[in-house]
This record gives sequence, C-alpha cells and structure tokens, in this order.
Amino acid sequence: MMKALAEQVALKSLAIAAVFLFATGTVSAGELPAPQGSVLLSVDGKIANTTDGSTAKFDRAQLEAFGLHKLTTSNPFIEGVHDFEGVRLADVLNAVQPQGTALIAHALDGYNVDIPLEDASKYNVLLAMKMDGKVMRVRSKGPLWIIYPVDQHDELKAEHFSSRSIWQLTTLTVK
Amino acid sequence: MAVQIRGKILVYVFGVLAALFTVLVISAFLLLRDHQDTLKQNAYDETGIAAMQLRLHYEIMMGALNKVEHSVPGSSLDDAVIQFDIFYERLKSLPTRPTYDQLLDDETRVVQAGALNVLNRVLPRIDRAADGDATALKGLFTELSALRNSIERLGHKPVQVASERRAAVTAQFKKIADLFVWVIAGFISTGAIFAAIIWRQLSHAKERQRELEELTHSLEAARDVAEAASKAKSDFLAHMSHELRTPMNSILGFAQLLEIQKLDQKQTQAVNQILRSGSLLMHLIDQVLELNKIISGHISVSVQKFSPADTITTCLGMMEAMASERSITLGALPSMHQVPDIESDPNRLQQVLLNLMSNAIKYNHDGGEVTLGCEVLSDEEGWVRFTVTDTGEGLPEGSEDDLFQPFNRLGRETMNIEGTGIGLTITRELARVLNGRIGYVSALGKGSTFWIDLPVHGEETLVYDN
Repeated sequence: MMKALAEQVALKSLAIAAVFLFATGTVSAGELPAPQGSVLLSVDGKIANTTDGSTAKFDRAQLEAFGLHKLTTSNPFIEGVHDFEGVRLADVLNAVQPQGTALIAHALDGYNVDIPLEDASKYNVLLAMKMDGKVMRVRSKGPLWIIYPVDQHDELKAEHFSSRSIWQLTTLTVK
Repeated sequence: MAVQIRGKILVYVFGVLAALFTVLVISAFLLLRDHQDTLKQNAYDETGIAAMQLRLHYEIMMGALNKVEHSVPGSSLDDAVIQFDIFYERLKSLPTRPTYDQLLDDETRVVQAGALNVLNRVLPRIDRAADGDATALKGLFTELSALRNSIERLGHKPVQVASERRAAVTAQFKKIADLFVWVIAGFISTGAIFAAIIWRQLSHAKERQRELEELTHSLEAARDVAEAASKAKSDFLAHMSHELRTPMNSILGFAQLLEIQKLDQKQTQAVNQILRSGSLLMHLIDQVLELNKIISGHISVSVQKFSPADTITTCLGMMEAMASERSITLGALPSMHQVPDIESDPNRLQQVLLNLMSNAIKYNHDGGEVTLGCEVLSDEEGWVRFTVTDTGEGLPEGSEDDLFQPFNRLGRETMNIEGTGIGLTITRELARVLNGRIGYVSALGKGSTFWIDLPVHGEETLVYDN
C-alpha cells in the first residue's frame, strides 16, 4: 500500500519535472531541424531533443545560428594568447536538453574525455570554430575545439582542465 | 674560569650553526623554487604516450591511404583525408607541444621539419581529394612510406631524452633530499647546542646559588662568633666596672671621712691626692660603663621637638663654673636663634655638647674662648649643624683616625690635664645613635671646631633593656 503510494508520488513528480523542463527550455521537446550541410557536431546519449530520434546533428550554419561569441585567452597547447570564435557549449546543450550530469567528448583521433555538465555554464566554455579569424580545419585542431577561459579563471590552469580542452571534437555524449 | 671559556665557545658554535642552518634552509627553498618546473616529472611520463600516438596515427593514415590506393571495398576518400589531417596536425604541432618543446634536440627538430616538408608538399593533393578527386592520392601511400624511419625516430628519441631528464630530476630530488637531511641535522645539532647552553647556564646558576648559600652560612657563623665575643667583652667590662665601683666608693668614702679629721699639712695633701685620683678613677669607670651601654645598644633615645638655641643656652649655663675657673669666656653665635625647632633627643644632644665643651675648655689657654653655634645646612636639606669652637692649640693634621678612638689622647697624657681619653668616643657613639655625624676642623695654633650634624626629623632608637 505504502509502496504503491510512493511510486505514485514519484511518477507524479517526474511528470511535473518533465513539464517544467519542457516549458522553460527555449526549444520545445521533440525534433530539431535536420542539418543541410556536412555534420560538424553530433550530440547523443541522454538528450530530450534530437534530429533523427537518437542523435542531434549540427552543421556549420546551424551552430552559427546559436550566436557566435569571442574569447581571447591563452591555452596550454599553443604558445601565446589567441582570439577564438565559436558557439557557447551551454547554448548547444540547452538546445538538446541533456538529461544527465556529464558529457563524454570524443575527438576525431579517438581521444575522449569526461566533462561535467556544470562547466558549460560555470565557465562559459566555448566550442571554438575559428582561431585568430581563420576557420579551423582538422589539420589545425578543427573543426571544433573546446576552449576554457584560462586567463579569466586561475583554477582553470590545473592539469585536469587542460585535458578537457579537447580539439578535433566531433561528438558529445550525455551520460 | 675554564667552564666559562667552554661556555663561551659553545655560544659561538651555536651562533655559527644557527647561521649555517639558516643558510641551508634558505638555499633549500631557493633550490626547490628554481627547480619547480623541472620537477614536473609526470610531464615526462606522458612523453611515451604522445610518441606512441604519433606512430599510431601514422599507421592509421597509412592504412587509410593503402585502402584508397588499392580501392579496397569500404574505403573512403574522406576518411583518408581526415586521417592525413589528424597526423598532419600532430606532426606540425609537435615542437610546440608541452614536454616535446623541451625534449626535441637539434637532430629530431631536423627530422620533424623534413617530415613536415614532405607532408606540406602533398597538401594540395589532399585538398583536391577532399573535393572528391580520387586520383589525387595516387601513389601517396608509397611516397609517405619513406617517412616511417623519421616517425619512428621522432617517437623514440624524445622518450630517451625524457628518461635522461627524469634521471636528472631524480638526482635533483636526491640532492634536495640530502640537503633536507643536512637541514634537519643542522636543526637538531643547533637545538642540541642550544639545550646544552641552557643546561650549562642552569647548572652554573645552581652552583653559584649553592656557593652563595655556603658563603652566607659561613658569614653568619662568623658573625655569630664575633657577636658572642663582643658580648662577652661587654659583659666582662660591665661586670668588672661594677665590681670596681664598690671598693672605689669605699676608698672615696673613707678619704672624705679622713678629710674632715684634724690632719697635718702632709696628711691633708695625701688625702686630697687620694680623693682626686679616686674621683678620676670613678669618672673613668662611669665613662667605660656609659660607653659600654651605648655600644651594646642599651641606650634609649626619646625624640621630641625642641629649640636648639634653648639647649645651647642650657649647656652654656652648666659649663659656666668650669670655664670661669680658667677665665675662659663662653659664648654663642646669635645666628642660632634663627634655627627652627628640630626633632631629636635634647638630653643626648646636651650630653654631646657638654662633652665637646668640656674638651674645649680643658684643652684651651687660660683666658681663651669657647663659642657654640647652630645653623641649618645650606647644601643638604633636612640637617642642622652644631659647632663648638675653641681657641686652643689645635690638632695636628692626620689625627682624624685616632681622635675618636678610646683612650687615645693624642699625646695630651703628658700635659697636666685630667682626662680619660674616652669622652670623644662616647660623643661619637652618641652622635651615631642620634643618626648624626661628627667631625672637626682644626688649624694648629689657632684652635679647633668640632661639629655634629643631626637630622631635623630624627627617629626613635630601639631600646633593648634598662
């Protein structure tokens, strides 16, 4: 009797949470527009919004539609300070509505790394598409490079943040 | 003395050790700070992984190119392009990549540049392939096979350099560890020396204290012995003097009885001689008793407020008869009337003044003068000075030490002046119990002035008994 009641309450709260989540999201639940050009970024795993039912795929134009932001900072992998331009990781995540707590970021070369979801909003993490005004190709760490504002937060100089600055990024998996 | 020198050396050693210790600590910290970067040992550990990745991506690229070359089913031009780009990026960024930026030597930099040159030359063909031109990659597999040796060299040489660096870092660590051992040793020995100094100081202090206690004990014992001896002497004197008084009273009594008998001239002279000598002896006995009383503290001082001028006037009256016998004029300086009342014992002061006046008359010329005075001391607050000035012979220089000693009459024994030689001693002792000072000034042939200084506010003196 008690168990049944608890289950009922749990289901109810889940439903309320879902309604609340969909109502506050800038993109409503369900389908996202399919990419027209070649895919730059795929987001899969526990997400609410997809382009094909399981994955949310974005081409360059779709990513740029999230709004381009600039960030000037140094980076542990290249010398000096550079201008990066791209979209906010938080904006992309907001579009796909992640249902988990962490991301696994995959690169073209097989490298992958765990990134806590909260990093996206806490540090305004950028998915850089351009460096010093030039589109980054695969041969220059493109097409996407996760850039933390290292010069703006001292704690980001720590090694575990360096390992999250993944380049040649292609896929984000929400877990 | 030897202990002291050893202690001093210990302090010097402590100072040197402390300085050395400080230098060691500072240099250890400087060393740590300077080598902070080279101590990042784990950075070198990643070198092996990166070297492996470089070779891995070369092989993956070569695999993709081989498939395209032989049109193996499932081969993808795009995949070949991507794998080329991945390898290209890795090779190009190698010299700026952390740890490799430090590990590439001249040889490997040349190797890297040569390999990158080869890749740069084929870049236009890769771009054409990216645009869909399958013929662009023809023969590329064979061309890039020539890079294998370079890539393997680039993979292995930095790993070797890294292991050398790691060995250097380990050696550095050992050096720093050794330095810290020295620092700790220095710390311990400095502490030990410091403890030794403290311990030595403490034991010194203890020794000193014991010595001091022993000295105090022996001094106390000596004092007790001296006091006992002094008391025995005083007791003996007091008893003997008392015992002498009884027969003396008898002698004087019977001499006085004889005096009133009918005697012839010779007999009268003899009786007078007995009476005079007897009186002198009696006086001497009385004075010895008096002195003994003062010295042994059996004398009371009763302080009261009185006028110094009044005391002087009383004394003048009392000595008038004695002075007139020798036509000596007694007088007092009028300034004494300006001296305010003082707090002291007027009877003891009177005794002092009478003693001094008695001497001044006795040792004066017939027809001479004795003048008393009293004034407030101008150079010392709270003191008054009484003076007794005579017109006698004066005292020779250097008499000060003998003058106040008992039974020392400075040669006056030969003169026909009666005296016991004990009066000034009594006077000095009286001045002492009044908390005063006594002294004199004298000019040979012109006379002497004896003075006694008394505090304006005197104190009661303890009375032991009597």
